Amino acid sequence: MKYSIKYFILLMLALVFTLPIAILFLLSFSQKWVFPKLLPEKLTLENWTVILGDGHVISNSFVISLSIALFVAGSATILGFVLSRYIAYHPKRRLLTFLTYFPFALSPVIFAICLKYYFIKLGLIGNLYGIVLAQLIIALPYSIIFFLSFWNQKVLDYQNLVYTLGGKQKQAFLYITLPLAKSFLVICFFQCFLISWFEYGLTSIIGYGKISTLTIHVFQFINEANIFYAALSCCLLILPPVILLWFNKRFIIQQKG
Amino acid sequence: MFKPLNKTLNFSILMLFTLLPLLAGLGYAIAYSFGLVGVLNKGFTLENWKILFSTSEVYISVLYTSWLAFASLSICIFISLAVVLAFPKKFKSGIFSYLVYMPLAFPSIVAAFFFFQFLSNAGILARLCHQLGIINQISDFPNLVNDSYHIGIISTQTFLSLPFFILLYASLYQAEKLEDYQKLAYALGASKKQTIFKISIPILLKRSLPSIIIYFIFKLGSYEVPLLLGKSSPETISVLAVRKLQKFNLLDIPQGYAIAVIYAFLVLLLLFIAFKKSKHQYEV
Amino acid sequence: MFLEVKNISKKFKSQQVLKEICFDVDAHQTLSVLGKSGCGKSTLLKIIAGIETADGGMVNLQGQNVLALPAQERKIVYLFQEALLFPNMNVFENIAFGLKIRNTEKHIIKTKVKDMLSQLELDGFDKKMPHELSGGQKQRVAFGRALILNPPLILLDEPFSSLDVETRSNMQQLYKKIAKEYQITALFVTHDLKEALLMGDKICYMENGVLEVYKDKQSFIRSEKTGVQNEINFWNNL
Repeated sequence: MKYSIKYFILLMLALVFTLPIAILFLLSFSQKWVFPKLLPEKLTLENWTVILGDGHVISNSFVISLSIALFVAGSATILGFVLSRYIAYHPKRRLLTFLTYFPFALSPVIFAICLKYYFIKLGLIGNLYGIVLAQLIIALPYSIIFFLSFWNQKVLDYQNLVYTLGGKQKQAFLYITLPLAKSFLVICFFQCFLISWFEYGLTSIIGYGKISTLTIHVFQFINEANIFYAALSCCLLILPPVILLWFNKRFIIQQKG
Repeated sequence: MFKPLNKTLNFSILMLFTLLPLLAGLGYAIAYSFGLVGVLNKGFTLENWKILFSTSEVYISVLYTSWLAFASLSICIFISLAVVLAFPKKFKSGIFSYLVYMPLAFPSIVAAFFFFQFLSNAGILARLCHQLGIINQISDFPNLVNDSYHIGIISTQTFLSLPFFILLYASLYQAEKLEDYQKLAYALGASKKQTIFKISIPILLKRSLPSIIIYFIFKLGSYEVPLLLGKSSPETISVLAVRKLQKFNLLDIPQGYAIAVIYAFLVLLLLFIAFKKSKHQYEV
Repeated sequence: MFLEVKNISKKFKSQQVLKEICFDVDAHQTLSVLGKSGCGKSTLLKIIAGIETADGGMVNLQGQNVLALPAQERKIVYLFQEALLFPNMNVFENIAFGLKIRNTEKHIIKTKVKDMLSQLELDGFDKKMPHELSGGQKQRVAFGRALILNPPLILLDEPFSSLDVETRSNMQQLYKKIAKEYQITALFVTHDLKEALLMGDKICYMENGVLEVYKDKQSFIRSEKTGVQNEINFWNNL
């Protein structure tokens, strides 16, 4: 008896974790779904072939989102790696960490409305540069905080050891620090990728409707009550993180909002 | 890159990307709310703040947002604790160690869309009830999205944070050597219930407090979920602030900024508490 | 004099960690530095190695003041309390590291590392990764990594403190043997009285940032503060 309750709970949990993805994919292949039918009446590949066809807005925005996310993730990871080293060995480490946490904890959409004025002044509203910069402002604090746990005394000892063995700073960095940091760098890159990939509020304000990322399209489809296309774009949004998960579950560990 | 960059350069880049946007953004919001900048500025005035506080809108919004964050986190922590204490090893390896990550692949907006499809009057749950003969027509099904009890928002938020807390507690369970403490408690004659409530749960909660506060802050700022699943009133802080700022009524804009300022100070305060609570350097 | 240290001082914030430290070491000798944890021994070694700065003083190695030189150019090797083997390299690569960054030819590296491995009784371990080694083996690899460069001076910061009693005494014997063979000049820091006596040709005692050098082992044993007398009384009264 006791065991069957445990199995029931586990089954429920498994459903909670998997059902949403299954249902979204099902909807993305559907066309007609009138109440009170439990399953859609028509399953088809048409939605996918239309939307992924040449020059369709969705396939374009997939490429735009991907490019933005890759660029933001790359820059945030490299900058965060360097800056977190500075903070980690700084005598005022705690204060600087606190200052970095503040932009990290703020709601991106509220951050965006407060910064909008400056973005307009700098001509960064409604273009890619603006979106990349705005997303970098929220991804970089994450990256810095992430790397703070990497720069410990031991890494410092390793570097000093290389110096006393006659190694130059470049050699210490290439042979020791970089290999030690490799998994951190990879995980941070994917985290920052997801921060950008998932971002909606800030992007909608700084993009001003002119740059359509995937999340923006999802929102448009939902507003138009086009649930099948909305579900399809949702699937496109979920796909990269699920693939990452397939390779290594450690790639996905943190999510805001 | 090989050499530790020049200190001034490091400091400048750090400030350029973290403190400067923060101070500039917040400074602008404060200045706007006091009538110092903006299209309609007439010099320093407390008028906007007075109007804002003369109606209950902003109080309700803060309370409502906090309530949503509190409710979804409480449910989430309750489920996570129960699941981890019942199955302490399930999430370290095997199929569940993968499944538990699934919700992390969901952006908020996708989770909100799914829960709308699942919980709405014509949604999957309603169809299921219809098939089972529990309801006869759409209107028989209770409102679970855009509803007065905020069931849609709270379910979505719980779903989104569940993996984080399950994984957190599963790793704390090992890191804090909870199994040893439990055995010790049994050896000292504690019952299973006493061990759970006096040993395991207090240890886990205490160690996770900074993370809970940080997560609470994230939830306070959440935007997409209440935007899609909330009612038009009350609104959460971010939805309210954005609506005031994006609408065409210019008189609303200073109030929108004032709300942003209130929110920022709330976050600052909570962050300060989280830092105080974490004895060692807080890491994500 | 091979190594001369004069008036080295160091302050961390308001705390004076080192006060006017003076001592010298002859070539091919090991000087033991005995002291409790936190007395400033590690800081002294780090200053000599060049990974910590001194507030004032002089360090002369073979007649050259090295304080102004960066760690890389001092040719002094510092051995940490932990073995700190590079986790991304196997035993061979760890020992070869110093030669590799000096662009030494491959076949020379190979012979030298092989010799070193057998000196350290680590034959056949070349392909092992650090996590596959025991504490004593790790420390031996760390030794090899330093010794292979023939450094004029080696600084050992409690290298055996994390080892169990038996491994520790094996390592002490091994060190004695290798020190003789390679004619090593070394500073050996420890908090263990017996180890200090065993390893050093000369001994000094450090307390609250002040270093006292004893001219021979007898005067060290006779001194009140080193704790040797207490130890002798304990065993005598047993």
